[in-house]
Amino acid sequence: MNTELAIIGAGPAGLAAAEIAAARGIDTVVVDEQARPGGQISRQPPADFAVENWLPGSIYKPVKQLLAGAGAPGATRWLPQTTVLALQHDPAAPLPHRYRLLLNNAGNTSELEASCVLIAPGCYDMPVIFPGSNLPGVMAAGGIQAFVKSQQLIPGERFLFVGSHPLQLIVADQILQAGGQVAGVVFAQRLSALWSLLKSAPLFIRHGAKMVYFTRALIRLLLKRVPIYFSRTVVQAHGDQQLQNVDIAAIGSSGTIQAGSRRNIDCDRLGICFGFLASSELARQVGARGRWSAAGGGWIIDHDPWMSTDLPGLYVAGEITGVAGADASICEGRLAGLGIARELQKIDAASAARLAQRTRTQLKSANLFAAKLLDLSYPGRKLLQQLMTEQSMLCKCEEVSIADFAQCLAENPFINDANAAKLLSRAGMGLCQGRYCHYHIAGLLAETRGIRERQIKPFNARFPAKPLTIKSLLDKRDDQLP
Amino acid sequence: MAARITRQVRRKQPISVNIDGEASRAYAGETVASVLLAAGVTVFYRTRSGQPRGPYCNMGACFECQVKIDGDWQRACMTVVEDGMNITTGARKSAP
Repeated sequence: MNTELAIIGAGPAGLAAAEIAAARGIDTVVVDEQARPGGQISRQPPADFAVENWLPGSIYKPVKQLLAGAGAPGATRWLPQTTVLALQHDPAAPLPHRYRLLLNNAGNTSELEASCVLIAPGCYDMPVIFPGSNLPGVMAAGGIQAFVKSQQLIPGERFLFVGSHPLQLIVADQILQAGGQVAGVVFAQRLSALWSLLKSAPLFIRHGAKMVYFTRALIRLLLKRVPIYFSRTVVQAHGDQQLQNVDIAAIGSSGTIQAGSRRNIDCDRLGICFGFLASSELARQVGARGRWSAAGGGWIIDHDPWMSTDLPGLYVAGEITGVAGADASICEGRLAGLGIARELQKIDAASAARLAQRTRTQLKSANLFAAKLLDLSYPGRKLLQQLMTEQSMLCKCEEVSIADFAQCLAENPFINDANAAKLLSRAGMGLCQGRYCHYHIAGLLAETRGIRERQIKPFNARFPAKPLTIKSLLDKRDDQLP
Repeated sequence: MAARITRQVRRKQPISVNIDGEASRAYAGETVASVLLAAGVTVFYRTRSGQPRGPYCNMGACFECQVKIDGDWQRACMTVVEDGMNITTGARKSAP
C-alpha cells in the first residue's frame, strides 16, 4: 500500500497537519499507537464508555476542537493501535516509494510507502533515578493522568507528587476532583520561582487561560489543605513489593540536598513530574539531523520554517522539535501540513506563505510561554545526579546500577560515547530500548568525562522501534493494511 | 487500591477475565492495566533478579507493566481486555 502522506502520531501536531492535508486533497494515512486519536494531552475515553463533561478545562479546548473530525471514516485513513517499527528513506526511489514504513497492529505487520512523512510522536515523562524509583506504585505523573482522563480510573488511594514541572498541580487537582487523596505536591524550586511565573503580567495577558487554569488548580489544592512543599525533593521510595512511603528532603540554597532533613510521607502512589523527553527514535533511525537539548527533551530534531528536516519529504512537528506543549504543537502541525501541501504542489508558494503568517505569529507566542515554562521547570543535571545513589538502577530493563555503570566507565577510560557505553555495560539494551536511561547516560558521560552532552552521539535507534515477536514478522502481509 | 470513577461515567455490561486463575470483573474498553489495578494487583512482573515491577508510563514506552496474557508477554497498558482473557501476573523474566 502507498500514500502521498504518512503522519506518525495523532496528537495535536499530527491532527493539525491531517486537517490541512484533508482540506488540500492530500491522500493521507495517520498511524497512532492508541485506540483513539488525541495524543496524551487529550487521551480519549474508550469508545465503549459514555463520559459526561470530559476534560472541562478551557486549556483543552483547542485540542478538543481538532478531535471533532478525527478518526472518522473518510478520505483520511486512520490506523489506530498501530506502531511504526521502521522508517526507511530511499533517495533514489521514485514517489511515492521514497519512504517505507513497517507497521505493527496487534501482532499483524504490514508495509506502507509514502512520498512524504510527518513524524509527530510527542514525548514521554522524564524518568528520574533514585533509590526505590522502580517500586510498583512509583509512576510518571502523565501516566497517572492518562488513567484518569482516558480509563476513568483513580490508579491508587493516596498520591504524592514530586517534581519541578507545574503540570503536577494539575494532575493532583484532577486526582482530588475524581475522589482520590493527595498527600502533597513537592516542588524542587523555591516558592519564589513559581511565584515569578504566576505574577508575570505579559504571560497572563497572552496566555490567560493557561495561567488561570494553573492558579485555580493551586487554589483548589490549598482549599483542600493539600500541603505544597518547595525546595524539597524525593530521595527514596520505600515498600515491600509495593510503594508504602516516600522520603523527601530539603534542597539547600546551593542546590545541595540536605541529607539530615529527611521527612517521611505515607502514600501508595508517587507521581514523578520533572518534565518530558521527546520521542525521537524514528527520526534518528531514518537519519534526520538533530541536536541535544537538556531542558527541551533530550535529543530533538532540526527543521526549517516549513518543518522540513534535512531529508527531502521528511517533516517533524510537536514535541520532537523541543518540548513546548500542545499550543505550539498545533501551530507546528499546521505549518508542516502547509509545507507538505507546498512540496506536493497542492498549494502555490504565495498562498502557503500567506496562510502560514498567522500561525507563525501564534507559534512565536506559544514558544515564548514554553521557554519561560522550561526555564522554570528544568530540574538541572546537578539535582538529578544527586538523586542517583550507587545502588539505584540506571537501566531498569537490564538492571544495570549506577555503580555498575561507573565501574564500566572507570575500567574503560577511552569510552566517551553512548553506544560504546551501552555495548560494554548493557545499559540501554533492554525492552524500552534506552528510552528510560539514554538521557541520564548522556548526563553521566558528560559529567565523568568533562565533555558537553551535545558532543555525545545518541544511541543508534535500530529496527524494530518497539519489540515484537518473531512470529509477527514472519506473518507479514505485504499489501493488506487493516 | 485503585477505584473506577463512576460519577458521569457509563460503562457497558461487565465482562469477566481470569487473573491468576480467579474470575474478575472488567468492562469493555478497559486496558488490562486498569483491570489489574482495580483488582488490587501490584506486582505485574518480576525482573530476572526477582524485583517486583508495575505500571509506570501508561503509554506503551516503559515496558514496566508487562504481564502474560494467554501465555504471551504483553504490555498491560496497551492491551484492551477481552472476555475470558487469561492474565498471569508476577511472572519472572527468565535469563537470556
